[in-house]
Amino acid sequence: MARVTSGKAATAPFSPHIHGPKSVHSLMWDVVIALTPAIFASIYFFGNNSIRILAISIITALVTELVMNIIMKRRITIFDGSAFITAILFAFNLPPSAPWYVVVGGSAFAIGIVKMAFGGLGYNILNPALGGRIFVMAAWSTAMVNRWSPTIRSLISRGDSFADASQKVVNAFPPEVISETVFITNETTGIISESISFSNNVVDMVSSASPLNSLKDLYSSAGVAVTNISEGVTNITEAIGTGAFANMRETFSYWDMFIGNIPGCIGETSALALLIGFVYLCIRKVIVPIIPLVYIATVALLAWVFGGLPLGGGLFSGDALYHILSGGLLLGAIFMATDYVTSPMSIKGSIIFAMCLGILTIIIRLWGGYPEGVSYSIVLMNIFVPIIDRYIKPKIYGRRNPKTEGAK
Amino acid sequence: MKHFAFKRGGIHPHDFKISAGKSIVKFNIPRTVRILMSQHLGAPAKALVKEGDTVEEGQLIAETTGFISANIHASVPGKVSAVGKMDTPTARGVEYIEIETGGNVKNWYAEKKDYSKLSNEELITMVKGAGIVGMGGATFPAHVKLSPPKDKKITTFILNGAECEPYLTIDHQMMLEKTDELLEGVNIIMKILGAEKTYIGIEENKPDAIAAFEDKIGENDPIEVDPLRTRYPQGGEKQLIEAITGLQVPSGGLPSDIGVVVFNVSTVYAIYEAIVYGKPLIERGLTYSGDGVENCGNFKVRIGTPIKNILDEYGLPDEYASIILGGPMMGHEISDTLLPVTKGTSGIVVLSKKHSYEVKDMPCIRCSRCYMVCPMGLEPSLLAKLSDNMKWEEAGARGLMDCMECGSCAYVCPSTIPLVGLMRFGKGLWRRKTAKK
Repeated sequence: MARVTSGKAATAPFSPHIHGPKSVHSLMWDVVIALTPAIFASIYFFGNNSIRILAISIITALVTELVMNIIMKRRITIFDGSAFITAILFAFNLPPSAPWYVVVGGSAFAIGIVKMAFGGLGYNILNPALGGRIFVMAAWSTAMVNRWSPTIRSLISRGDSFADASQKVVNAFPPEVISETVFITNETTGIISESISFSNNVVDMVSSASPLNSLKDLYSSAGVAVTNISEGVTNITEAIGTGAFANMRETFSYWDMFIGNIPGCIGETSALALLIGFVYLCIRKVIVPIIPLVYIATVALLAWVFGGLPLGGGLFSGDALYHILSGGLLLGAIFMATDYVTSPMSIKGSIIFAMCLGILTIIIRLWGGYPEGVSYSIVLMNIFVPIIDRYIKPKIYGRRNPKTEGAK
Repeated sequence: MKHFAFKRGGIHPHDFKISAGKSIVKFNIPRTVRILMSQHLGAPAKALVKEGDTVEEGQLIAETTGFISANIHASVPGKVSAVGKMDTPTARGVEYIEIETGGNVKNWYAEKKDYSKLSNEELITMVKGAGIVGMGGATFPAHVKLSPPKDKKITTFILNGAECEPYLTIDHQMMLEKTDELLEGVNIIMKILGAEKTYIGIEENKPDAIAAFEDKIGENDPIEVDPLRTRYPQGGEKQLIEAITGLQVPSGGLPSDIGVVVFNVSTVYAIYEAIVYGKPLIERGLTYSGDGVENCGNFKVRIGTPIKNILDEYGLPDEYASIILGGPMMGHEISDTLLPVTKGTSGIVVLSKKHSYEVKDMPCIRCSRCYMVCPMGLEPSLLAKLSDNMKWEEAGARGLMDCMECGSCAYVCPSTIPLVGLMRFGKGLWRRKTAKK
């Protein structure tokens, strides 16, 4: 397509002669603007760690893109904004304690392999940021899955400086410790016990389990289908509505979850900041809100219907709001499922895509081997996009229309 | 007020109707005119005169060579000074007849003829004889539309006053100045077609034109004015029919398949003049407008007048990016200002650098904007890609030939991919390949 101006079709007369206000650059930078509230929220809640991770991620992404441009002998594309978006989104998917090599490795993989090796902007099959996230989850699973720090707000409120609080939070999670599950659990509960009151029996159950089990298994074997180490000890989506963690939910109120004062990846916790970005994207007509709305609605509905089952509750006992506000759902639905390149073209296709995302997310969250299902759902559905586009086409004017059949 | 609109797609370009409200001025008869033998859809006309012949104003100088073809008349009195071939933006080597002006100009409006006793066949013959074509740009011969196959009953006539192209205002001005004549033209057409009802579709950004018609239409007249939502391409024939009747023209079919015939304002006026005054299509209204055009306005111009004459008379801005024949959405850029005005020239638009754009070397980012705006429900980015790879068969199967080249897709494409150019290329391929079989 890019060769058309000099290609076979160059002889065809051009029209129209005027053009709308949108360009690839303006769209991409609009997305970056929409991400800024979440950037500020991540700095507010996770301190210097966010700045560090974002900076490393962006620099790595740009350098990788530049190097790939040169190797592939293509035009330099680092300023079209898409590498910035990928870098920011990838950084948003990392825990605040992520070591530098995880950031560098993931960001370079996202740009170099997932995006550029497939042909660059417009040709990638998977969302690059999520490709990078899945890569680091496989490569450095301990750093990614087992280390969750609370927000720095509680420390700051007790008089620590911004920088000190940032440091403390990360130091509490040194990489070496991680394979020791019991250690982590104790450590984690220790750290956050100031702000959360774990009920005693849960701590007992946890610490009495085998240290070789993953935490999710551990929780499961203890009869609490929880989990979620990756969502943070507190961000226990599946625990909702049942006794053991009831008091945790009270501590981490919906309000905390809404503004983002909960442990988690640096960019995903603040629903408020993400929603501001969502509104901006819709007002600027950068995205059509179909995919986020259908995706979130599907998750909410299924969470309400089935959310209680793994916890021993009945149907229709799940906590839909908790599922919406926790984990990476909003970040994924607003910024990653809507990625132009890796989402379907037609409106009907987008609805199907978003509903499948919701179903997969809930299946993984409730019954899957991973605590969080958003990134895997999106990447899995990315693969189906060409098939959706092949079979779900817009209806052509004047075709197969019963109103006109008679007149033919 | 009830709003009428087509169902899917469409865009909202800024309308820049700066020449709105400027009354139609008769443009001087030029010293020479060049009249093209192919200024309509279908077979080119066959020249009947040769170099050195003297012709009268309105004399038939070229005749139809098939059912879908149109007569051509001398737009000025004078002497045929040359017969030759020239390139136009859409075709190469088009035959033309050059006439050097000299002699008396006719007064066509001396007497109003009584046409009430004429049969439909006679009326259609008059329209055909006058060489009238659709003057909105498609230039489909009018007599063909007026004589649909016997088995197709026409119930509805639609007067297309949408004028959705930016900058153009000539139809708007015609509706204000020639309201009575247009209504008489509508009655003539309804009689020929045997239509029961006429709808006049006008975009809401022309409230004065809507009011002008509503004032003149009696309560019992089978004529209704429908305000249309201002949205491009509201004036596209298929979109207009859908907006007003709710029916869709079958793919590959004609409006007459669902009992509808559409003419635009200029065409109806030309039919009126042909029937009432026996005047062939030798002049037409057009808008000269654009960025920085100070003396923009609406003009009545003889067919064959060089574009250059109009530009010289009313002034070209010092700086401009392109000159467009027709509207900026579907018109053609010209580099040669010696090209003549044709029956399909609805306007001359000068675009500044600010409003034109360059095709950037950007890949498709699959943003799906082209899918959203396509009023035909096509997949422009896919069809363009298939066309570029010469996969005309697959593109045809996915609706390539339904594309009407309205340009909505390329207008919104953030990568400025020349989607229309590519699809036009694909359509050409499809036509050539299927014609061979």
